[in-house]
Amino acid sequence: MWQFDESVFRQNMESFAEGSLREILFRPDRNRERWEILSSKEGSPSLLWDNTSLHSRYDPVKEGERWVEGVISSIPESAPGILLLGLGLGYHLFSLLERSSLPVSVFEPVPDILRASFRLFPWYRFKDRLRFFSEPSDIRKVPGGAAVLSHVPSEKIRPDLYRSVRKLYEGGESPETYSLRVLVVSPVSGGSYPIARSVHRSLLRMGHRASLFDASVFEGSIRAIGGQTRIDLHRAQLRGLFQGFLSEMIMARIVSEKPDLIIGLAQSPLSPELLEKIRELGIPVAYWFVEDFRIATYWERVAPLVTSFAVIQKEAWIPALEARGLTNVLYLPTGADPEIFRPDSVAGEDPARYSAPLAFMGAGYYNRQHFLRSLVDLGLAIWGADWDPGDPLSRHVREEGRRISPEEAAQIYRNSPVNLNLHSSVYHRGVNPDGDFVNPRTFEIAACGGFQIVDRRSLLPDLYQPGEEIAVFDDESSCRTLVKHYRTREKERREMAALALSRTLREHTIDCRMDHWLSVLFEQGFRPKNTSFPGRQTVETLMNEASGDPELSRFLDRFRSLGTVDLDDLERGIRLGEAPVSDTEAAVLLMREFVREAGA
Amino acid sequence: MSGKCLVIQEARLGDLIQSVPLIDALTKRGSRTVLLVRPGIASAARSLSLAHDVRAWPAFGDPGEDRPLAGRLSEAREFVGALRREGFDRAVVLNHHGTGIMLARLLGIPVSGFERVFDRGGEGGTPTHLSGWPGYLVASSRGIRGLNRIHLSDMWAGFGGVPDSAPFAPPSKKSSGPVVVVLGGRSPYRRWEPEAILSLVRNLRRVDGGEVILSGSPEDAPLGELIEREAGDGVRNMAGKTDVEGLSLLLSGAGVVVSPDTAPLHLAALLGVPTVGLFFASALFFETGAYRDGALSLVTSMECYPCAGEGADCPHRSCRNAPDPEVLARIIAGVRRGEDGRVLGKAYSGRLPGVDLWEADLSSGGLLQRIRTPRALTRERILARLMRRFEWRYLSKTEELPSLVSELEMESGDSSTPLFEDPGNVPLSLWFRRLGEGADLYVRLREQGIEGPHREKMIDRLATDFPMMWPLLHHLEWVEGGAGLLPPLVSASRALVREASEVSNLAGRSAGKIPTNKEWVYVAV
Repeated sequence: MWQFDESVFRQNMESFAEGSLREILFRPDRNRERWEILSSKEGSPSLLWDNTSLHSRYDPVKEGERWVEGVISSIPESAPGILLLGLGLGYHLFSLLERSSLPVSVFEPVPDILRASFRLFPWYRFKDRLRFFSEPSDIRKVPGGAAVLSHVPSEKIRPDLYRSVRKLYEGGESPETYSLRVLVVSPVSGGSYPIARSVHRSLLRMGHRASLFDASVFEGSIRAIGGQTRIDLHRAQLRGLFQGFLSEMIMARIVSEKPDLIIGLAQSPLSPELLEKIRELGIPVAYWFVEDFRIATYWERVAPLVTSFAVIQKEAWIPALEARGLTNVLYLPTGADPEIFRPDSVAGEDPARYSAPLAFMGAGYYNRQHFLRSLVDLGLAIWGADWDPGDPLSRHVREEGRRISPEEAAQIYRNSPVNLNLHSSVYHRGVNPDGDFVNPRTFEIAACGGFQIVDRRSLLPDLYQPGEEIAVFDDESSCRTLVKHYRTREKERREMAALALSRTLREHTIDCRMDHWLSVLFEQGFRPKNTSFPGRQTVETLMNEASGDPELSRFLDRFRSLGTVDLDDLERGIRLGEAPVSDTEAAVLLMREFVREAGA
Repeated sequence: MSGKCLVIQEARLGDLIQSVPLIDALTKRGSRTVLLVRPGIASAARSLSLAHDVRAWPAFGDPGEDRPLAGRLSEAREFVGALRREGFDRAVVLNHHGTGIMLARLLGIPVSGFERVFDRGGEGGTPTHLSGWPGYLVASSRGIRGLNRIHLSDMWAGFGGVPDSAPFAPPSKKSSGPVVVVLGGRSPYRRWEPEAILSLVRNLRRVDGGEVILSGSPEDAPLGELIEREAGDGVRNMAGKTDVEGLSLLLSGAGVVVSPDTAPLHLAALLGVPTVGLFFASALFFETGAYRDGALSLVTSMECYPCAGEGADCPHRSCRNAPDPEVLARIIAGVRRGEDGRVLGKAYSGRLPGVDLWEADLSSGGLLQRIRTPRALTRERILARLMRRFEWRYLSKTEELPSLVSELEMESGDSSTPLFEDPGNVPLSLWFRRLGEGADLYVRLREQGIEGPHREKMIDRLATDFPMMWPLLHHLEWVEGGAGLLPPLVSASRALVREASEVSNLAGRSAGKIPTNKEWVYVAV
């Protein structure tokens, strides 16, 4: 019979609650509305945090045992101990303690969860070789060389803290040492808009303090401008005025948020004039030009004004950029957002609506209009916008040719036996023989575990092994052949899709791209900037300044895992903490108000 | 209300002086008041003995200081810790500043006045609203300032609780001392033109013949020297030569003090010295006129008054061209002779183009202003008086007000003034009847306690169908979030409905005159 027991809690407290942990555990639950305890089918309790389950709802005990089975062999024999990141209710820890005799240090940053676990498991029985900590800075007390194990569902609650703790323990300085403030600027619309959103989500997952300037809210305004006049000069003037307005809005965000880094996507309203101003402020801008440089030529004005200019093409272009003296160029293919493009189906998945024997998802570009006509007899269905309603192909267009959301596209990729991926071209009637970059769809279909056949691109072999991880065609004839071959061979499809999925998760998610990009920026010397009032600086510096003030030093030590902090961070730390507010915390809150008043 | 009370006043000296009625009320109720002010005015507050004790904010929050964050935090901690240990019983926060509000919260004692920052967003991003006098102060400064008829000192006195039935009344002094002309003003838009001041001084010398003393801050000293030189004998420049103590001495010996909206004007009023205030640009005399019975204000009659902001966008700033310096000199001379606003208004009403003469009337319903140069009422001015009466009843929870008729007379000058000069598209009688109907509907909605989207729709509908309700809705919905106290709202609304109906009837009679009280009773019967 499982139950939460106050006497167990008391004995656990007596055994483990010392120092800062004691303070934390004695305070009342502050996030009570965010979690609840449910009974699993087997009868043991499971914990739901923000409606996400930290344990199996069927049998958490078994799940804990399976978790240990999976990790026990990875613990080196020479390891002096184990560092477990994430406690949850503790089923996996309990199994681990039964299977291993090594000392275990457990990091659990959420006091509510720690308290719940302390009421459930008699951890005090293992007091000789078990310790808990909740403050990231206490990682310094964990002996070096321990095997690091992770409870992944717990990490999702505070990914920033877990990453920081891991990095602090493993040592060294990298982008992950810091929780960066990043402002992502999206375009108003177009293919790079969802990429901007993915970049934003990815940075949040990585524990950075990212925010999004979502320009899509102005899509109607841009259309309205176009509808006012047919005189091009007037349109250009109106758009110029609107661009100026958008620039002011972005600048307002920059002044308000003081980001360490700005990431702009292709077509985002970062005009050269605005980039000049941002440069004067000394804020680095990383620009991801996810466009074909041959068609969109505005890169010539943008590239020299940004700190890092990431592109999706290589051969013809990077040398040309470098020849102009630009040393800030980085080849960075697009990737898949694992939050949207994933192999498992979602609630409300509708395979009947979102699948076809041969599925094509994409806008009605010139080459696609021609190419797809040759495939209509193979069960072709088309999703996407801009298809000519007068064209015979329109009979195959689903959802009335409306724009399809990324979530809907993921359903199509998951549920269709064969996904056709044809890169767009406005010049060719079919496959672009000179096509080089790889479109996001390639990664997205793969990330969904979907099977795809894709037109040949010169940069594709670096990313997926043709014939093994991905099926590639060169023209209409080879495309038909591949479709006919694979449509009846489910096993081959599954094997190839699984390889592509595995490679994608390993190398081609948007998280991989962001990780790489930030690492390159770091290698190039980028660091979060210090400013004067209100004082964004490293915690180390702050602690040095506060060396004669032990109370303040103790307070600041709580923020060591963030690397750098400003008053916003310190204020947030207090709000996450609990009453009563100490004099030092009061000083921070008061100081923050002075900064607000000064408009800093 | 006894015990030790921390009054947090973060504004300038002029505003600090206007907090005196509050401090006086607190002291009368047995509180030991400690003023917390910005460092720049702490010594002034001390030398004027405005409270039992005066403290200044330390410099940790000064962005101009070049010092590390850790040092600032240490100092802030010492400051908060010391105040916490001092054992205050309550705090009154007078300004809508996050700093004072946060400090009061951190002390963990009962707080009145501003308890939170309006519209910043509380826990979970929910919008924060304000109620009571702080709510009205924010509503007034952010949208209905042109309609405000309540003095800032009265609002602040309300922060301390129910106002005393005996209002704060500075002593009344009469002296044959010199005329003190204050040269300064908070911003260039709130200063008189140097040429006009010179002309005034020359006219004063000619008309009045008494000594003229020029006063001002050190930055006014060159102007003072110039005028002293140009105006000749009998003019003495003291600008930049006095500290607050010296200024206080100088003003207390004056026969009359002439000034734009400045700290010396408020200090003179506090000392009981007769004042003539010059109000134009963004300085609103209803809000910050000299707080003294009989204080005179010469106020621009331009339609755009008071300006939004400081007036920086104004293309001409012509509100500073009036009154005529010679007429002003004659009015000042009259004040020195002991003539009041009624006499002076009669004498000069035809000679003050572009300016109105107002006289303060200290009553149990707050400081009222009475126009002495008769002027036709507009619907907006009538609405402003009705709103004043509504707000006073609602926020002070008192009925102690002059009659509606006498307040309308204060606004128009006398009973023979035409009731309105611009009928607009909707007849005045209908317009005010609609105001009453709207107020009635609103209070019913509040009484029924309707919540959620349905309520929002009803409020939107009310705002659309009864546009004259906007100042009321601005305060009660936008600032208070519909969460103000219901009983005083019901009582004040019922009175508003009644008074709007009275105004409507009055306009419907369309004799175009405000009837005397006797007539009014007859009509009501």
